[in-house]
Amino acid sequence: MDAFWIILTGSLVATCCALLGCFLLLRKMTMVGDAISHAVLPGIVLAYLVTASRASFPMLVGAAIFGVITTILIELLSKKGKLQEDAAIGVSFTWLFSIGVILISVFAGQVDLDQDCVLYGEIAYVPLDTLYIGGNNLGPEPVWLLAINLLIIIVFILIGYKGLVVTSFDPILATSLGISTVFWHYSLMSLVSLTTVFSFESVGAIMVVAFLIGPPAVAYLLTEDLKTMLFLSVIFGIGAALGGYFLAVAIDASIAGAMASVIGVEFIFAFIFNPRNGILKRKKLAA
Amino acid sequence: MISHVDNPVLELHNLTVTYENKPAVWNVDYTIPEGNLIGIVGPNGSGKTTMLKAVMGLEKPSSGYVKVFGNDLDKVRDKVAYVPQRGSVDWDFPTSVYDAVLMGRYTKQNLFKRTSKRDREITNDCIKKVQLENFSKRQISQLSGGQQQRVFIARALAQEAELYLLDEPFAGVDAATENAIISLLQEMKAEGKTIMVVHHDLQTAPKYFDWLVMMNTRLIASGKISDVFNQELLNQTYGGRLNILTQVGELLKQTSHPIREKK
Repeated sequence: MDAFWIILTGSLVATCCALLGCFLLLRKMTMVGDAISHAVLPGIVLAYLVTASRASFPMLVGAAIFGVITTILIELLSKKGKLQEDAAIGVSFTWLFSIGVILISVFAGQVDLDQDCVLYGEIAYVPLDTLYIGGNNLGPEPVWLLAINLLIIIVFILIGYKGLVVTSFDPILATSLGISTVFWHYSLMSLVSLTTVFSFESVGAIMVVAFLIGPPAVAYLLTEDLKTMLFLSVIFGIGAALGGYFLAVAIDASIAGAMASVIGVEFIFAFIFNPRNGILKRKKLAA
Repeated sequence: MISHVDNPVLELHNLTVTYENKPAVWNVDYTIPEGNLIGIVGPNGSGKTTMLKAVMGLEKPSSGYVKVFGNDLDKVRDKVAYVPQRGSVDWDFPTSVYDAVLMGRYTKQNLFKRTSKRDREITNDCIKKVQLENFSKRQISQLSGGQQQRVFIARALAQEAELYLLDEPFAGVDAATENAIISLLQEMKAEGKTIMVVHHDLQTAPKYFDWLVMMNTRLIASGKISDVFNQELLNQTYGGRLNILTQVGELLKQTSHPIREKK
């Protein structure tokens, strides 16, 4: 049963991240996803200090606010400060993350959080975190939270598909049609922040990045159709969660680490064998 | 030499746009008549693109204003279509020709609704108008430069606007495509649409356009092509660039408008 919950948690994280990651990738903003996943830390710690509980509503709000602050900060530094965007990202999120690390160490006695947990998570403990309502065992709490998060993402993409696509492909056209690029930008960033908060306990901030970027990158190599890309990225994300679990069990290693490694292997295969520009295809053409 | 018209489709009033305190567009003031094919010429960096972006609300003017059909742009957005430079988007984006053209049908109002049958019909019609019907399902990165430009034009057609602003639609396209595009624009003009085109080739300018806007950060001239396409105004527009000036001299000899003064 534990294995089931762990794989389910991993798959839910993978699905949430893959769907959002596709749009980040197409907007050339994957590193912003990386930045947000780290920069929400001070928000999490502050909310935790106030409410003394994890995965509570204030925590989500705290993290979402810091996620949006990160994006604002990056834009401020790159547009107004004339800094290159990658440098702006590097400066913003390391600074916010370090504030989070300081907060954790200063309030170490009061916060049941540590850097290891934030960075690497521990998906193996997920089955221990059981949700009881009226004495009934409903399974692990993270699973429920991630399921709600996934539902929000799916509804957002279904309803907002046109807006997301047009602002990703051609923001100039979108603006000239009167469609707010700012609204779609911050909606997407808020969801990335939410997903990070829901995911970090189980897989950690680093694995969130792996799941945000890896499966969409694999799917991007394999298809030329956005809907297929969304679908494939979910498949590869879940595949990595499944494969990663069994790999970890087989070699007795970190589960989250194994899941992320499997994504790397998937990417290498897609890179070599993809039908359009794969290395094999190029060799054939050359021969 | 700036001719003003009554009931203009587009009016720029003392428009100034600056980047970091350097003016890109300086005090430009003109009116555009309806149902014409209008060329915008000027050297590189003379503010042509910036001016179009200011018209579309993509750049904020430092002073002055723009009126489209006598209104603020927000009230008449559905009557204006803008075709940005081809290089402004990532053509590797996983979308088909059909889906890219369909985006021209998106509006603030229908963004959360399903695509209607009418939207799909208009999209297919516009793809036919630019002769890409055999490429409809193809991913946009697999098109040639000229075909990509036609996708952009089809997308603007799908907006069913009255005023079209095209930024360098002939950049990097072959002669056949250029001809196809210009005859399409002429058809649109015949239907009473107004089309403004940023253009670089002075050779073809008198052949293509009825009206010409000449600018070099400032507005040099705006008027009927027969009134403004002359050596003096071209000199002013292109400054002291000898190479171009000699070419311009050659050009003027070829045009049907006689040069009265010879120095």
